Amino acid sequence: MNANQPIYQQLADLLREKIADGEYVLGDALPSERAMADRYGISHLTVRKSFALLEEEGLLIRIQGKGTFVTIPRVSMDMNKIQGFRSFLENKGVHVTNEVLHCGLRKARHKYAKLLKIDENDDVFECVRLRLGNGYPMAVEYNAVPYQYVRGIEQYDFKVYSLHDVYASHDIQIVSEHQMLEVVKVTNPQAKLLRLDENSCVFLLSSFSVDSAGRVVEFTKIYNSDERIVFYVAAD
Amino acid sequence: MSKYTQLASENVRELIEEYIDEHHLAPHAPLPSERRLCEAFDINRVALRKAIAQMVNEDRLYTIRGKGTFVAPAKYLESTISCISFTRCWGSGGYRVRSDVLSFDVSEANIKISQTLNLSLGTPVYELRRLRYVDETPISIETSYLPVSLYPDLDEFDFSGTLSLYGVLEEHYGIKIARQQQTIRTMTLSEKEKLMLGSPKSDHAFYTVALGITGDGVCAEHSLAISRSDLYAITYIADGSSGR
Repeated sequence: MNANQPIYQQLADLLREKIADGEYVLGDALPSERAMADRYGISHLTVRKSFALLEEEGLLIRIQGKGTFVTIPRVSMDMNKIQGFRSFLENKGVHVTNEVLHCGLRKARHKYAKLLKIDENDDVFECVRLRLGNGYPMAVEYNAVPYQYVRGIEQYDFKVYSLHDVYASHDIQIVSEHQMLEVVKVTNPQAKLLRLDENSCVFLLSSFSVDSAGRVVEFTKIYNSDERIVFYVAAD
Repeated sequence: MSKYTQLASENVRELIEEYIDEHHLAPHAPLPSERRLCEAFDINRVALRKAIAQMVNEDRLYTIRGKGTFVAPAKYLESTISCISFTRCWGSGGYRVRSDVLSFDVSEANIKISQTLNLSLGTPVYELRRLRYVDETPISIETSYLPVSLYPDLDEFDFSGTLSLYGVLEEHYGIKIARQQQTIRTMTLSEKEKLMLGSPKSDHAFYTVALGITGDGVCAEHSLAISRSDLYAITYIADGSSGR
């Protein structure tokens, strides 16, 4: 935050930070313009200007006669970038939390031997997470990683850490991501987790990550709530 | 919801996928009866039906009432990397592509189109609506907007059949689209759109907004496409160098 900035921008920065830190979460009402003006000793017109700015960014929504509420912008996932879900959202000022639904080791068997190009008897680390933005369910993500590349991965708490953190500590450098994007109807349990009706529409993104040694180090499928996410791609 | 159910349907699904692979079931091949699959997997019918319902929803299987469950064919894959023109992209993938021209008019750019193409409001633009086919299956309805000033007499070309719009822009007008930006959303098809697209079972579709830009940064084409999601998927390879 910069003291030389106009006051309304300083207040907008402050509110952005509070939303990103989870102090205000999705659906929370912000204090009224008047209360906010009193708290910081500024004019209510200045407060109104900050609210308008954040509304434009999609972080707030003002409802006539009800107040100002925290919401989530539509996030554009850039398919050109190798970047985790978390950093996409955090760049938009959205506070990301994870609920770990399952984590553990299993044998590759037919499915992952084929997808990850390993032996059927090799171990695979599987992780299922619900990803929330400002407390709102945005995606259900399934990851599978060959255990031989990331020994010790089961020690990580994926509520806090990302797979990219694990790769960094194992000197794994992802050089390409091969992605397939589909539009499908969602079924339970994913529908329930995303607070959507069964048979409503979601994006299903499947991808393989390849590292600098040419190994398939991850297979991921993500059910993305289409209410909050759009995809962007630039092709040459 | 218990954590167990999280993976329960995934596990049954894995068994079905493995069965399809190991028995080399080709697209449109029938799955064995529910009873036989339940015995083979040692699971109950509810669990099997749940997994099958999910695979039908995700276009991996399809069912025909009274006949059973069948393996769905793989989706047509549009690779968006180095593949800008529909005709060139699909043609090179071994698919036969063609178009019907639904309309081809000159209109005044409304605010959305003028802003996207960086024109002033009301600038004349071509509006070309095409129904695109892949292997004789209607797959998308595409509306392209192009500034008239860049392409005099473009409307004398007949884009029905296999003529590529980007090919014409390049060969006849010397305008080469170097880069295409796409935003991909979902949408629900109207009854009319469903009919045009050959009545797919699903109401859901891709809605893609694209902007074609030349090497000099000229916005040379803008298009809106509605594409069947049951037959079509978008693939893209991101590599470390292309992060923008």
